Amino acid sequence: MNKEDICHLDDTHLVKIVQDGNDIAAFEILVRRYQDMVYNICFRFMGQKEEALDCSQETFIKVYENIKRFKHLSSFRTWIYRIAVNTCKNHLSSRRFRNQQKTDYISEKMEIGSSFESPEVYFEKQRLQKIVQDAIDKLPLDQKQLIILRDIQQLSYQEIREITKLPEGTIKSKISRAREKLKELLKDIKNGM
Amino acid sequence: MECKDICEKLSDFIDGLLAEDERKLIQQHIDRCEKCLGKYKKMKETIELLQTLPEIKAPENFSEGVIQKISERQFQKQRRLTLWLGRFAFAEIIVLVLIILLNQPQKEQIIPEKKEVSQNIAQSEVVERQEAISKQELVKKQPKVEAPVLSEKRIVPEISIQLAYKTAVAERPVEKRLEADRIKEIPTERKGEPIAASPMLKGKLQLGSGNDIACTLTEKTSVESELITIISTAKGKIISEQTFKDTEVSQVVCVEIPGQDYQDFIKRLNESFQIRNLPEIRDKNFPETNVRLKIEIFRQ
Repeated sequence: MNKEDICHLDDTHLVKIVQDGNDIAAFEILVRRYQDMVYNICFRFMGQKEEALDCSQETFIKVYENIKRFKHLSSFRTWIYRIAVNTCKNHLSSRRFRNQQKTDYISEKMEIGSSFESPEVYFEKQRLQKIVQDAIDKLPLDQKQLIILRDIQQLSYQEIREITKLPEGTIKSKISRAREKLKELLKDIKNGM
Repeated sequence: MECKDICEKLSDFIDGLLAEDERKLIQQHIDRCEKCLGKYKKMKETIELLQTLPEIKAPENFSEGVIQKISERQFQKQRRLTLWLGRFAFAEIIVLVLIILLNQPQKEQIIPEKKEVSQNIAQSEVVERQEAISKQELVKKQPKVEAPVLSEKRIVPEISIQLAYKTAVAERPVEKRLEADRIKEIPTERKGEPIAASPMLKGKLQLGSGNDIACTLTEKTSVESELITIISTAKGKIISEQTFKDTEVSQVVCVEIPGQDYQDFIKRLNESFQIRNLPEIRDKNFPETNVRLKIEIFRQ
């Protein structure tokens, strides 16, 4: 099946094509569709591009290897989110990563800078983004994932519940505590990003 | 509602998760409490700060990289499977080798026995050779024992005598002719035994047409009684007898006669048969030697 023929299909159809015949072309379309979302959430979890790239690639490999187990009980997007979050949490839990230091936040930001901004504005934004990312990284992992999902990815509580499998009350309270903590960490920063 | 309760619900208030009544209560409290209002504003700014973080796009060729990694994983899985199968096959070979090696000690137990047997055989052969050598030495040392006269004497090379019947015996019964056909070589065990009447010599003997020594069969009955009598009188022995059918020579009898009795034997033979030839014995040891005669009896 040609990519042109299937690129317009929705997630459910593409997933079924992959499930039926391990169609790598159909899967590549799904990867293209969700690669930015997955890479973004991985970057917010990991704080550096190399780890984010590893985690996001690992996420899609897991999706491909387990796609036949996907029963369409939730949306494919939610399923990918869940796999990405778990992959990142596993990476962060590993001792190897805990001993590493983040060094490439600024260089990562350089790639996304707008050409219309003055250098002063651009570097100020980079500084603020790094402060915010550092603050996020200081959160406990369970709060971090909820802040990423709720405030950065801006998912609904329903989606967060489906992804994390946590009770809604727990999600609310953890988000509240995480926001309070971030408020304290970022109290001196004016919103200028 | 106190400020503490308000602060705990600010997050839910911002997200619009509260019921209408509760939302109104918090809103009224924030409007009149600057401290709680400040906390509310600060939390809202923090959330907005997080929400304004730019979305980071995946690197170029990200999807191609993912597909390539998937292909590599599948290749590695296939390779691992192949390796596992290879290891399994190797393990099977090891098990087979072990089974063979486990069976090996039984063979090794047999091999020493074989070696022992072969060594024993070799040793016994050596012993036998030594015994044979010693026996030969003993024989050499032992004095020679006198053998019987006939067997111990040197034998004059075989001479051939042709005989023919003096009287025609064509009238003999047919059955007696047939009996003669059964005559074969004398069995080995009979050689050297005392000569008795041999049924193998029964049969019709016909005179030949030779022109050497001629013997005449005086009686028509049979040749054996006459010939055997002559041989036994001369202290000789029959070596072999052969009868032929439909040939000029009907019978060949090999006999061995003591040299001293040879002249008497020839004399008696001449009385009964027509001797067609009588070769001269030129052996210097004659008559001390035995004489071996090949007697050919011709048909009539």
